Order: sequence, then C-alpha cells, then structure tokens
Amino acid sequence: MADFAWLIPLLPFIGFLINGLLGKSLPKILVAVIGTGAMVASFLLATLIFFSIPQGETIHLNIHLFDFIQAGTIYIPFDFLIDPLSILMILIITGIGSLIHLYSAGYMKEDEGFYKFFAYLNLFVFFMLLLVLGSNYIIMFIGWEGVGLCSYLLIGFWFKNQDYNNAAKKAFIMNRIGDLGFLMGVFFIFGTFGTFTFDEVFSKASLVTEFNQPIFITICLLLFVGATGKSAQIPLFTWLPDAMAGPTPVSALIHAATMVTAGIYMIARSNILFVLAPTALTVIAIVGVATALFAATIGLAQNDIKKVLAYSTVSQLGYMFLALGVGAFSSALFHVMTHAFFKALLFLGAGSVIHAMHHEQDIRRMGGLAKKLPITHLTFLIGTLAIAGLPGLSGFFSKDEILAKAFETNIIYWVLGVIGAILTAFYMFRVYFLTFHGSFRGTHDQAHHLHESPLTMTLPLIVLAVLSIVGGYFNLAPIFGGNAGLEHFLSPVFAAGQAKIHHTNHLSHSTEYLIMAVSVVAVILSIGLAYFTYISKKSVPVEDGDEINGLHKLVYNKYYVDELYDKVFVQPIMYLSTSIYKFVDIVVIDGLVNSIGKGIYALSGILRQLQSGSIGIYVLMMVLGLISILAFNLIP
Amino acid sequence: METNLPVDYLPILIQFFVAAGFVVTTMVLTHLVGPKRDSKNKLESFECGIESVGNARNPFSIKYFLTAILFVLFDVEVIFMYPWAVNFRELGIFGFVEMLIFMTFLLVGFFYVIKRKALDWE
Amino acid sequence: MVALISLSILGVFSMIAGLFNVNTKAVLTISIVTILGVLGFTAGFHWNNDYSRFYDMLNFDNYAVAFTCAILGSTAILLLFSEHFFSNIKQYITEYYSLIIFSVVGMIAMVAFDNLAMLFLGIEIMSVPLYILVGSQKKNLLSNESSLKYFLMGAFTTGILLMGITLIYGETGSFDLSTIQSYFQENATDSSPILLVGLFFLLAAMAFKVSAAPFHFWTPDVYQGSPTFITAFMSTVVKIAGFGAFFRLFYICFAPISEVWTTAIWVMAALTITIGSITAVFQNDIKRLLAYSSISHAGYMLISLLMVKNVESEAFGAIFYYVISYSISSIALFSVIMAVQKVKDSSSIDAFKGLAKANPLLGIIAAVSIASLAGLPPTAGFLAKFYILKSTVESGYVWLALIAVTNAIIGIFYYFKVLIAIYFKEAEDQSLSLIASSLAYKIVAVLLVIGILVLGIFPDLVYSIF
Repeated sequence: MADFAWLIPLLPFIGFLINGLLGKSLPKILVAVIGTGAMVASFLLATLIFFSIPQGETIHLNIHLFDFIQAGTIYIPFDFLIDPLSILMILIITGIGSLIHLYSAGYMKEDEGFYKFFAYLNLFVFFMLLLVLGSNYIIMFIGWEGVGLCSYLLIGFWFKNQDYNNAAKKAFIMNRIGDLGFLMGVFFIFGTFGTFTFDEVFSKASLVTEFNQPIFITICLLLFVGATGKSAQIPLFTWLPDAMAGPTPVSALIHAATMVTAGIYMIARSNILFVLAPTALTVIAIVGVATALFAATIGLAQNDIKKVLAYSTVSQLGYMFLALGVGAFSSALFHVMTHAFFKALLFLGAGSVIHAMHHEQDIRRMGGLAKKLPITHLTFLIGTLAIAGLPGLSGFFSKDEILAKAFETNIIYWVLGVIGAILTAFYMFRVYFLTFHGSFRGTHDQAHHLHESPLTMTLPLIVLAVLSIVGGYFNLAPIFGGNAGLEHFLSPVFAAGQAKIHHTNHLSHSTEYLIMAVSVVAVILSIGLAYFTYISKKSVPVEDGDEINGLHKLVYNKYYVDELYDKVFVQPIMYLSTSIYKFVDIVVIDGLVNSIGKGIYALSGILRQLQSGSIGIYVLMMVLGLISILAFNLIP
Repeated sequence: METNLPVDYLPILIQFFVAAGFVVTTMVLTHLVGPKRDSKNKLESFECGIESVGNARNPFSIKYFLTAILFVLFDVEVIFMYPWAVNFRELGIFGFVEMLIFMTFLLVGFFYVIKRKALDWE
Repeated sequence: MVALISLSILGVFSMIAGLFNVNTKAVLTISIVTILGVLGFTAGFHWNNDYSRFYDMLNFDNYAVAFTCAILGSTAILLLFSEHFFSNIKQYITEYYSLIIFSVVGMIAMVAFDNLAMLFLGIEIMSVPLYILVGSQKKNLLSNESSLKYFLMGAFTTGILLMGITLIYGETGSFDLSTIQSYFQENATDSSPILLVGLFFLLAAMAFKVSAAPFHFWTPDVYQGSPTFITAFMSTVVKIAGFGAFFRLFYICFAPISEVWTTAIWVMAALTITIGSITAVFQNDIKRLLAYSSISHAGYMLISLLMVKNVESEAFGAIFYYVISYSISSIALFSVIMAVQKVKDSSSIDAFKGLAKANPLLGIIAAVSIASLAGLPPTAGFLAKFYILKSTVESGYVWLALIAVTNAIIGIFYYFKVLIAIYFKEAEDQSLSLIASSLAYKIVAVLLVIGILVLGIFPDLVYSIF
C-alpha cells in the first residue's frame, strides 16, 4: 500500500493544475469539489497506508521516483521516505487540510478569486507533503521553499490592500532569513557526511560518540535558525501575527496547523544530530520557553481575534520547541497533533465569527454571540478549553507531557511553562468571554445580519471539536492507564537519538500527579480571573485612542519588536540601498552605458558620411581597398 | 629546343617603344614648333560653317537605343555560328542539335521582342 | 543539371506567358510548384550522389545540393510572399518572375561550379537580371539610380573578377578547381605574385557580391532604391548564392594556401561587421537599416571562412546554418515590410508605429524575426552566431570574436528601435489596420516563425546535415 504514497502529493498537485489553469472558466462548485476532492483522496490514501502497517510492526520504506540531480559525486534522488514520522505528518496535513478545504468552500464563496484560492491551497498542500515525504534534505528544501511561496501568495491573497501585501512581503523575507540558515546547515551536513539523504546522514551520525563537536553545534544551530523562521520563534516570529492578513482558512491551515510545524518536523527528523549537540538543544529549549512566555504576554493585550490566536500559536510553538529542547521529540509531535486540532478549530471558529460579523475582527465590537452562533460557540469553547489545558481534553495531555518532561530536565523550564499556561488560559478565555458573552457591542446593522455559518463551515468545526476532545487519547500516558500509542508508533524514528540521551531523574508517579495538579489548579484560577474580569465586572478593553499606562502599553505594542527591527535592520538597509542606487546605478552604470551609447551614435553619424551616394567615391574606396590588400600581402 | 624566356619578347617590346615614342615625339614637336593663334572662331567646335546652337548632349528617342542594342545582341550571338560552322563536321549530329536549341532560344527572344513591339517605331 | 534545364524552360515559359496575358496567379503557381519540384528532385536525387556535368564544369556534391535547396526554398517562400508587392504593379508581372528565375539559374551554377569559367557565367547570369530588377520601377528616380549604380559597379567588379581568373589561369594553366587546388598544394610555400594577385582579385570580386567592406558601398543605396521585393530577394537569396560561391572557391579551392588570405578575411570581417552595425544605428529608413544589417551579417558569415582548419562538416554546418537562419528571418521581416508598404508609401521606421496593435500577427512575425536577426535565444539567429563565434574562438581568433560580440550588442540597439516602434509607439493614423493578408500568407508566415524557433531549439536539423 505504501508504494502508492507518491500519489498523496500528486493529487493536490493535479488539483492545483486543474484549478490554476482552468479554474477561471469552471463553476465554483466544481472548483471546490476538485480542490477538496483531491485532499480527501489524499487523506484516504494516507489513512489506508497507516492502517496497512501490520500491528506491532514498524515501517521504513524508501520510494524511488527518479534521479533528480546527478553531478560528479553529488547524487540526489527524488525519493520519498515513508516512516512513522512522515505518516503522522501526512495524516495531520491531509486530514486538517481536507477539513479546511471544505470550510473554505463556504467561507470564500463570495470571493472572485475563488478558483485561485483553491489552486494556491492545493499547491501549498503539495509542497507541504513534499516537505515531509522527502527522503533527503534537498527535497525537504524544495517543499520548505514552496510552502514559503504559497504562504506569501495566500497572505497577500487580497492583494488590493497594500497592508496585506506588506504583510506578505514581511512573511516572505523573514522566512528567507530562516531559509538561509537552513540551507547553510544543509551545506554543512553535506560537507560533513557527503550526502543529503536522511538514512545515510543519520546512520553515519549515530556512529559518532563524542558530544558537542563544534561542527554539530554549528549544523544544529543553523538548522534551528531555519526552524525559527518557519515556526515563528524568537527572533523571527513577527511575521506570523501579520500573516493574519490572509483569509482565515489560510491562517488555520498554514499559520496554525501545518506550515509552522515544519520547523518542529525538521528538528524531529534530524533528532540524532541535535542529540549529538546538547548545547544546541539547550538553546532550543531556552528560545522555546522564552517564546512561549513572550508571545503569551503579548496575547493578553491584543484586541484582534485573529491576532490573539496568532500569538497563541507562537506561544504553543514555543512549547513544542521546549519539548524538542529537552529531548522529548515524541511529546513535541504529540503537541503538534493536538495543537493542529484545536488551533485549526479555534481559527475556523474565529473565521465563522468574522464571517457572521461581516469581516469585523475586533473583539471589542463583539459580545453575546453565543445565542446567535450556537455551533460556533460550542466548538469554540471546546477549543478554548483544550488549549487552556483542562483535564480530559487533548491540550491537557500533550501540554502536560511537555511540562513533565521539562520538569525532568530543569525545574525553571517547568515554572516558566506553567506561567505560560496560566497566561494562555487567561487570554483565551478573555477572547471567549468578550466574543460570546456579555452584550453585543457591534453596530445595529451587524446585529441584524448575525447568522450561523453554513454546513460546509460548521461541519469541519464539529469534526475538529471532536478531535480536540479525543485527540489526547491517541497518546494516553501510562499514568492514566494508557499505552502511549503515538510514542510507541514514533519510537523507531527517535530510537537512535533516544539511545544517546541519559535520563537521569525519572519522575515518580506521585511527582507527576503533583505537577499536573499544580498546573490544572493554576489554569482554573486563571480562567476564574478572566470570568471575574470580563463577565462579572463586564470590563471591555479600552479603545485605541485612550491612554494606557506603562506595562500595558508595552505589551499592547508587542514590546515594540517590529519598531526595533525597523530601526535596526530595515532602515539602514533601505538607506544603503537608496544610496547605492543613487550612486552606483545612476551615476556609474547609467552614466557608463549612456555615454557608450552616445559614443556609438556619434561614430555612426561620422561613418555615415562615407556613404555619400557618389559612385566615383565608391569605386575609389573599392580600389583603395583592393590596393591595400595587395600591398599588405605582396610587399614583403 | 623551344624556350620561353622573357628575352624572346624583346623585339615586341622594342616595337612597342618605337610606336609609342613616335606618337609622343610628333605630338610634342607639333605643339612646340607650330604657331599658336587663338581666337573665338578658332576655339569653337566645327559645325560645317554653321554657328553652333545649344548643347550637343541632347536626349534623343530611346527607340534608337533599343534598336541599336537589339542589333548588337543578335549580331553578337550570330557570331557563335562561325566557330560552329568551322567545326561542323567534327561535332556531327550532336552539334547540330545543340545549335538548334541555341537558335530556338534566340528565336524565342526575337519573338518576345517583336511581340512586345520593341521594334515598332510608332 | 535537371534543375538548370527545367528552371531555364520555366523562365522562358513565364516570359512568353506574359505575351499572351496568361493569368499571373497561374504563372506564379506554376513557378512555385516547379521550383519546389526541382528542389525536391535535387534534394532527393543528388544528395550523397555526386554528379558532374558539362565536362566536370559543374559538380552537384552535397554542398552544392544544400545551397541549391536553400536558394530554391528561399525563392519559393519569397514568391509566396509576393502578393502584397505585386498587387501594386499593373504590368510585366510575369517578366519579374522570369527574371527572378533566370537569376536563380545563375545562382545554381554559382554554388555548383567546379570551374572558374562556370563561376563567371553563374555570376553574370545572376547579376544581369538583377540589374534590371533593381531598376524595374521605371518611373522611380531612386530605383533608376540604384540600378545604374549597381550596374556600373557590378561591371567594374566583373572586370576585376575576369582579371583574377585570367591571372590564375595564366599561372596554373587551368580553370578547373581541382587542378588549381593541386597546383596550390604543390606550390604551397612559394606561390608566385601573379597567382596571389589573381587570388586577391577574386577575393575582391566575391566580397563585392556579398557586400563585404570595403566593397560594400553599393549595398545601402541599391537596397534602399530597389523595389522592396527585390531588396528582399537580394538580401536573402542572392546572399546565399554569393556565400555559396565564395565559400566553395576559398574554403575548398584556395584552402592549401589559407595562410595567405586569412589575414585579409580577418580584417575584412571585422571591418564589415563594425561598419555595418555602427552605421545602422543612425538609419531611419528600414530598408537602409536592413541593408546595413545585411552587411553586418555578411561579416559574420565571412568569419566562417576562417574555419578552414576546422573539421569540414563543422564549418559547412556553421555557414549553412547561418545562411539558412539569416535568410528565413530576413524573409519573414521583409514580408512584414511589404505588407506595411502596401498601405503606407514609406519605408521609414515611423511607418511601423503601432503595427502590433493594428495587426498582432504581423507584430509577432516582426518580433520573432527581429529577435532572430539580432541573435537572441531561443531563435535560430542566436545559435547561428553562437556556432560561428564558437569556432572563431576555437580557431584562435579571440579578438575577432570580441569585435563580433560587441557589434552584436550594438545590433540589438538598432533592431530594437524597429521593435519599439512596432510595439510601444502609437500609430499616427489608422492605415495600418487596413492591411489584409491572404490565408496563404498567414500560414506561410506562421510556419516561418515556427521554423525560426524550431531551428533555434533543434539546430541539428540543419547544422549536422553534412
């Protein structure tokens, strides 16, 4: 069955070709059917592959498609690697992708770029699948660049708005900075191992016994730079909130569920290299936990529903990096999965709200929507509970596993992680309460038109809500009586890496219960505070023009990171570029080119005089020419 | 033995110099010795005693030209008949056929000229 | 042989047909069909089948067959494109056909000669009809002037050519190419001055025919003054024949003493390319501009003579590929010029303003052919220049290659002047939209454009035939 894995990326690509080339003349319903159908077919195929693995066995299959590059000693085959990690990723991508395609059919119904939107979405999924299926770093890089491109196209989808274009450019450039790191890391890998292929690199790396070799630290940090770009970590995170300029399904698919997890996937895939460089892992853990906290505090003060979700994504990605940093690779992927469920759900729920509010995104203009949008309300609540980490929901299991692993490594990670969780619970419920409870604060017109979204939109919400509830049970930890299914499933991928990690202090069950209880209590208190603030006191965030003080202002303005980057990087580069343009381009190059042109023109004017029209002169010139040829050749 | 040295051509060279020398010498001599009396009448071109009128380079009808050119054309081509006639016996029937073809082409041309009324004077 | 006889009869036929007011369209059709038939016969029968005739004075080897086919093919395409030109002419149309066909007969003799006498005959048979064709617009002063100029200078060159042939005969005692060649081989080191003078006289005469500097002065005046159709004929078909003869004479016959004449060719090529492209920059008349451009192209083709040390098939391939690509690109462009001239009584570049908007098909034909003439990929013109320059560098003439490349860049400037007028300028009046082309024209033109591109992508179709 797995031999047909090449069909999985091919189907969305065909969908892209059909919709991209012919979509303009096709009816919208057909475009939606083709786009969604390709995704669903891919998902079914992925599911079949997953279930075709015999019980208790693992899979590691290399599918050779064709030779991509063959030059000298460089040999890059176009191969796909089917193993538990890639199967998990394709399941998430195609599964969530199918639901979001279905949702888009309803959400984008009025848009004139409907076919284009579906073409881009399909192309994005194609590249994302290439990224996770590739059996070497080059194929991965193709996917890596491709998703960056699609992200750019989709963020700037409503390209008539200049702000959106700027957001698209920002995302692209930030990603490019990360890509440079990734590419250099890949070059170092080739320099060290002489190959790009995963299997060969990892088998060679597993023979290395010495830890923290400079070359491994370099490779890992460079790869991590790539990951910070794609997965929006400090310092390259600022593009993700701006990327909310794209249509909401895009935010759900790309900027929550799939593309941003590429960095996690890449590090998890290269786990053996990172295990060999513990210093790099420490850096990753610190950056991860810092991002988790930093983004969570910003999330407290944002008033745009999608911006809050964006910062929460950054924050949750921070948790995943924390997990990677402490060597808990399967926990990170567990969180990738559950996060994909509830974050896609939250975004789609937000999209449903925005749809109902006629593209109003400010939570200060909402309120009391629970009655008007019952399905959206319920599913959004489930998503909020899941991300806050209420026991029994998926977010609880995955986040708790990460916190437990963090506790094992260093208690400070755990303390900061719990603080982040408290903040998360607060700002998520702030959004929830302000949106669905209290009194309606929008215009009369909006109130009049409030309506529940169509079935194509609510169906994905319901499915995702169910997944957000049950997602945690796929990897139920032993202390809850589970068998850690996902961890076992993934264990072959991480076996080599885990073998090199020395687990010193394994947690006892009582400690584990204790830290769990601490975080649960803290989160519930935090929710209570949010309830007290926004339901009992009915306070609403201040309007833009009003004075806000000190810390609040700092957080509201996202710690002025954008402004800082603007001053430190953008403006000097712009200045340099302008001065080089003014001097080198206009004076030197243009001057040179123009004077050569003028010179030739003048020469032409002179040479033209020879052609006088007088036949006597012509014959004279001919004779002179003949005489000079003779003279030159005959006179010794 | 037959030789082919430049020296053998010496008599011709001498002849050439004598001939050229005679012309040059007489022209120079008459120029030097003869009396010169320039007047308007003397320098005018001789027109049988009638006073000259206008420029000699007048355009005249193209028909003269055409007739002359056509005459030269056919005249020259008929010259080909002479060497053919001399070698008639050796060339035999092949030569005869070739001459017929040649004459056909010539006559076609003649036919064309007549049909295009190139020889009509009016 | 069959080609010569059938084309001569065809010429006579169309001459006589004019007398009896036969429908000119029918004569044209018969002519094109016959030419294509002869082409097919020549290619099919003589390819890889050497064939000597007239006491070895003509030899249809592969080289001659290839050039004959190029000449016949170009002539046929030009005649197919002649509708715009002949629609403005009222009388003596069949005489045009017959003169063109007679000229073609001369060209076939020129590219297939194995004897200097035949070369002379070929050149004269080609040239005399051309003198008439150039002056065929009897009421047009420019046409008369250029005819006279061409005739006088042509006659002068004929004298030089005959003198050269005579001197070579005097030294070698033969008109036969192979005899002359073996004489050169035996006396390669100490050729007598008389022989060299003869060789350079021949060089000058051939340079005149292909309009290489400093024997090119007639070209701009004659090209501009001639009727556009004849200009197209001269700058393509005549050029093929001229180079066919030039190459056959020097590359094959005079190869043993190539050291003597390569320097002269070197200088002439550099001079020709430079004068051609630099003077073209100033021109505002498209026919005059193309005249200079054809001079410049002649320079590139001259370079191929320097490949005398290279593998023969490669050198043949390079020159033939260049000739073909230059010829089809020029014909395509001239077809556009003729179409425009039909509605505008001007050949200035301004007359082409806004052509692309008024008639997109003509715009595309012009764009592709200009790109090919300027030597831009993926057209045939690019690879043609590339092959020539490649072998130039391989033969060690790096400086010549540099000069050629520099001038190719200058060339882009003046070619694009035309292209800019066609695509980016606004038309001054509505007359351009009145151009109506027949379906046959459209089909052939589109085929030509496709041919230019296909040759640019699959050069081996032509490049590797030898």
